[in-house]
Amino acid sequence: IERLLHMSVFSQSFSPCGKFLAAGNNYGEIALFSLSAALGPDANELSQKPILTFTAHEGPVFSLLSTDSHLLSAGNGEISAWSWAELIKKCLCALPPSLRSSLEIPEINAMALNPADNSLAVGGGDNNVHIMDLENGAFKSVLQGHTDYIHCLSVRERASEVLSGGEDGAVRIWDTRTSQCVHCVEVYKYETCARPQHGKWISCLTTDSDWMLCGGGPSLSLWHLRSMSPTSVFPLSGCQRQATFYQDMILTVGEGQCVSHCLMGGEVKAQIPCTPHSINTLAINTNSTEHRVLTVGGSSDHIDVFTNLSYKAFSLRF
Amino acid sequence: MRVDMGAVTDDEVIRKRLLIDGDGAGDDRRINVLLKSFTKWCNSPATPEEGFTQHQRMHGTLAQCEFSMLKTLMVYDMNIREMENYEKIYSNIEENITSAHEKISECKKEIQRAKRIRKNRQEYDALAKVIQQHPDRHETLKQLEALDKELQQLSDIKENVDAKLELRKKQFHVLLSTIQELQQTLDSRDEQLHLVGVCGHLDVRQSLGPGGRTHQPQEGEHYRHNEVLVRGFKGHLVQPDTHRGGPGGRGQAVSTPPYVIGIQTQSGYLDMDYLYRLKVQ
Repeated sequence: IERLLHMSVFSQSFSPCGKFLAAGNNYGEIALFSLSAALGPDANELSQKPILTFTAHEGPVFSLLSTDSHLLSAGNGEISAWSWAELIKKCLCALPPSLRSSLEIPEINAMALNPADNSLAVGGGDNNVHIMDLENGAFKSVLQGHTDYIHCLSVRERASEVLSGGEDGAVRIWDTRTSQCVHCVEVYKYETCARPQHGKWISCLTTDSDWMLCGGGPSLSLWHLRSMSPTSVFPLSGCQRQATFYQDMILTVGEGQCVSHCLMGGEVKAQIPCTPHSINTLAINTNSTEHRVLTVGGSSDHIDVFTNLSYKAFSLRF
Repeated sequence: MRVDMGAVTDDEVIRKRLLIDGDGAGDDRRINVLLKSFTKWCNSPATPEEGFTQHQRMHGTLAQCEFSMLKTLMVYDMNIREMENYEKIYSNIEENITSAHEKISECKKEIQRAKRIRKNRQEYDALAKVIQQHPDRHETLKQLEALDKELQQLSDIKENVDAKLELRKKQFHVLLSTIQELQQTLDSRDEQLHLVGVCGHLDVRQSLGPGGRTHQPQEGEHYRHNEVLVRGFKGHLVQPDTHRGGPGGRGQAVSTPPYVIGIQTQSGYLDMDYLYRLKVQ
């Protein structure tokens, strides 16, 4: 019970078929939940428990990512790839991952998939972004430039660029083909965004090809990437840890006990309360139409599921 | 087995009987009664009045039976028509349902479109906010033009002032140099005043005429004073002639050793410096 109290969910990922949710916590475990069972008409207590739990890494699982056939999990220094087919079939008992990365990267905080050239960008505690080719698992290139560890990554598909945000407060934009830093934006230097009382670290980054959301120490702000200027700043009090663009809205989670819905103009439309006190991760299931839910995980062993964006439907428990 | 069969058939029979007789109170009974009365009437040895009344009674019951039959027939028709009606309504509702489904999907698409539009509009607004912060292009252009004009004006003024300055400088220079000359002339005049009385040949080395040839002054020749330059010397002392009247002035050189001093003209005595300067001009 105590273990459950201290549990924090750090990452989530949906299966490619959209029916399963994998969540990683600070104990290094990954739990697999069946969404079809939990959302079905005969859902009960049991269906809100994971169908499979296994220990993936020794350290906390900070980042989970799903490709078409595999679940990639990043632990403390290694990336493991688990086959979704096998996971769904619940082949447990010493399930070896299909692939383990060859390079030791300390404390991988973020991973982002670049579908254009089937590569994975991995950002970690060694201040660098490593680009790994998914077909053979070899590391292609290293993007160096940050002076402190990297919190978050995002891939800008249209321009084939990778954005990275780190503890040093800089958002760097890298060109994947030349591995050079194209832009470097120091968000905390802009007066409209900066919140010196929280610090200068950037913990959440997401991009919509023309627009970028970044936040953390400085307030969450929407940037126009062509002109590299902040267009709107969102008046949210806590530090935001994850943000996504969804249809015409921006959903963001962070230190407050709620999911904030914001409009691109800069106003906060709604704040939906949820169970964890401080939320680390937010994921929207876009892989399936009938299980289109929003799930939120944070500093508790509950993962809140929202079927309709306006209210919390139920919680999945570890 | 037989007992079972009997039980089953009994049940069946009871059920069937109940079904048939479920219509009204004793319709079946009425038919049985009619049948019995008919057989009794056929076989009765009773009086014709009684037979007649019996006959009438039988007609009555027959009519009753017919009436109930008609009723059931009508009910049957009504049921059929109701069924048809319900079928119609059912199909109508089905159509409505399908059209409502379609409308719902249309509306969903509309919502998606509207959301996209709203997102775009918000993006425009956000960009517009940023753009608004920058100053208007027309205004900046106008300011630039005004500044250009000012610059032009100021440079014109500067040029004018410079030109004036130059002009004044030159004029002052001329004034100062002429003063200096005058000073020198006055100084030299004081020395040469006593040499004026000496005459001499004028050896004209060079004239400023167009040919530039050497020219010996002849008597009666007219010289215009600004065409004659006296240079060099010949060493003759010449008596100063008096002026002979005549049109124009005659210039006669007065030369003394070792140098020629100047020319005596009608307008006055011209010394060397002046003559030299005339040449230069």
